[in-house]
Amino acid sequence: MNIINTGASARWIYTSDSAQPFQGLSPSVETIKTVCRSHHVCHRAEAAVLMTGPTELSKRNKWLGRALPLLLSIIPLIAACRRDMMNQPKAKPLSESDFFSDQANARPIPPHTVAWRNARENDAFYTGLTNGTYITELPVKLTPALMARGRERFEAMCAECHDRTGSGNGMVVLRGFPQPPSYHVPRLRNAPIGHFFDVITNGYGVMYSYATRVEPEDRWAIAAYIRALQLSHNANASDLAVAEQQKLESRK
Amino acid sequence: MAQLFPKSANVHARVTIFGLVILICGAGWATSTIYWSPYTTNVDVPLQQPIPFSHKHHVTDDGIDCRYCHTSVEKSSFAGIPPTETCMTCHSQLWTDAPVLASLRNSLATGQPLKWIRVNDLPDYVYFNHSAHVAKGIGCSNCHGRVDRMPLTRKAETLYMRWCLRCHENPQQFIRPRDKVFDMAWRAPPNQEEQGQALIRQYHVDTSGRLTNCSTCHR
Ligand code: HEC
Ligand code: HEC
Ligand code: HEC
Ligand code: HEC
Ligand code: HEC
Ligand code: HEC
Repeated sequence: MNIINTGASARWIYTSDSAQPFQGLSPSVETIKTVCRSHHVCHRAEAAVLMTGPTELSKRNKWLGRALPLLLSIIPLIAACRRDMMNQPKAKPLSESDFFSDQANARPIPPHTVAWRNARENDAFYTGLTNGTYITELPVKLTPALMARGRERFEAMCAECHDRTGSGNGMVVLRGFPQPPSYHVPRLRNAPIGHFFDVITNGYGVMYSYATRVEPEDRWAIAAYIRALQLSHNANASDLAVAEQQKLESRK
Repeated sequence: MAQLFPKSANVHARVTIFGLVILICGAGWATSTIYWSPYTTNVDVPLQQPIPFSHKHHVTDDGIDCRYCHTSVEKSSFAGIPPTETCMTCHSQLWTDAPVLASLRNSLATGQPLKWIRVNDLPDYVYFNHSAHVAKGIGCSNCHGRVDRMPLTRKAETLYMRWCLRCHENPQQFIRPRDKVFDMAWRAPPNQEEQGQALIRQYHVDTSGRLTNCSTCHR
């Protein structure tokens, strides 16, 4: 657990896990500093949400409900102590602040800083581009584990609209969202793999960016899985291994 | 000498003694009833949120995965609540004029975050970690109930210490395969006890007694 001092007048920022503190960071420093590890500490301002305690009404209910048995057992003083311990003056992820003007304890990333995961050490890996053109080869090793991961993430993050086969008839589309193109049209079949990475990172048309929701590693896993989906709709029996072809024949 | 107590004193004495016993028991019963009632525990009491968000619609009817919105649940102690931008992914196109979503659009325009009221709220002296549970095959529905059937989000369990301990003492009764963690409809199979033991070995769940150590949760 860290307690982070953000400066002279500021109170603490408390983080419960691996977050790195904003240590003595001066905004004038131009170099990129590796600052934050976990998303919830450095939320982007427009992306912040707050979680507050129970409403006044339920607070009162809770207070009454908790205090009543204690009153009955004639130790009302404990009720006061208990509340102090329950709501300690520390900030938890996304908790409400009475200090910052936007009332959020989660702070926007200070200028001139980049989360360490977004450090662009390897351009192709973080952008899908080399010299401004989409890369055509997957920049990570293709393994069964990567494919499984890609499938899991695709079904969690993309299938709502693109549906599990990639045809673009997901549930949300059936409820009125604009229909995305099928992945099985020639243009997307021939698109370089970097394009899929780029669409996830930066969005495309009415589709929002998923950069804050899908890590770069997972974006490549999804891109690889989309390739597999495309292949699954565009394969001939002769592409199969001989043994598999025989199996297919025997089914007929 | 005249009788000091009239005959009715017998009755009075009995009534007083029994009355007192009944009163004490009654008070005890009333206390525990109130203590365990939703009035105190808030179990199954939906709260007044800035937007009446329905998990039933979004999860069951629209097929959205938990991780689409609660992105950090596998990686962090904190499950995460979706920012305004996540809602706008769909609501920039859908229900764009709906009055229920006025505060969502307002939040986007002003940059002021939405203030969701916590439904599950542990006291600050308790440490809790989502990723630790999700990684060891404890499903959302073990602790949050059938969220996918809730038109308004409500608490499914008391979150009292004895409730945590019931599982920490016997995790084999609750643990499930990892790929079923997000499966809301999962139910313990008849051979849960054996399967649970096998999963505990497979996932290396700590059986040294650390799980019931005070300092695991109060650190
Ligand atoms: C909320 C619905 C929605 C979700 C969720 C969604 N998309 Fe899309 N996607 C769209 C729409 C709509 C389009 C078409 C955009 C346009 O042409 O304006 C699109 C287009 C695309 C395209 C085609 C771009 C092109 O060149 O035509 C790709 C590739 C894509 N999405 C990938 C993804 C991946 C990968 C995910 C998951 C990380 C995802 N989408 C999640 C709605 C969605
Ligand atoms: C479309 C986005 C979305 C999806 C999908 C979603 N949730 Fe939520 N969830 C929210 C929002 C917004 C809140 C806060 C408002 C509320 O409490 O109703 C929330 C609140 C919760 C809470 C209560 C948090 C508290 O205050 O203690 C739980 C528990 C929860 N979600 C579990 C789940 C589970 C389990 C799933 C998957 C079955 C899921 N959610 C899917 C958006 C979503
Ligand atoms: C992946 C797409 C998607 C996301 C993300 C999403 N919604 Fe929705 N939402 C829908 C769809 C589709 C409907 C229409 C439901 C229907 O007609 O069954 C809807 C309907 C609603 C409604 C009105 C209907 C109802 O459920 O009573 C509200 C309110 C709402 N959403 C709030 C939210 C909030 C708040 C968020 C952000 C936490 C959010 N939605 C995120 C797709 C989405
Ligand atoms: C072992 C029990 C347990 C499991 C399993 C669990 N939760 Fe929670 N959840 C809690 C508790 C306890 C809290 C309240 C935490 C607090 O007050 O600090 C909570 C809080 C939340 C919140 C509010 C934000 C936060 O992190 O405080 C959301 C959202 C949530 N859970 C979603 C989920 C989802 C989605 C899953 C399944 C992947 C899940 N939970 C699994 C016990 C659990
Ligand atoms: C349904 C079962 C279940 C419930 C309910 C449950 N836990 Fe756990 N808990 C587990 C399991 C399983 C582990 C993983 C043990 C391991 O990693 O070896 C765990 C681990 C933990 C850890 C250790 C995390 C670490 O850092 O290693 C903490 C802290 C914890 N639980 C707190 C709680 C609290 C607080 C509650 C009640 C609000 C709770 N748990 C409810 C099953 C449960
Ligand atoms: C599995 C996690 C866990 C473990 C292990 C644990 N506790 Fe707790 N404890 C809790 C939770 C959760 C609460 C808050 C209950 C509530 O909401 O009132 C709590 C509350 C308490 C309270 C305040 C009681 C009250 O009702 O106000 C005391 C005192 C306490 N614990 C002592 C202990 C001691 C002593 C131990 C070791 C023998 C211990 N705890 C082990 C989870 C745990």
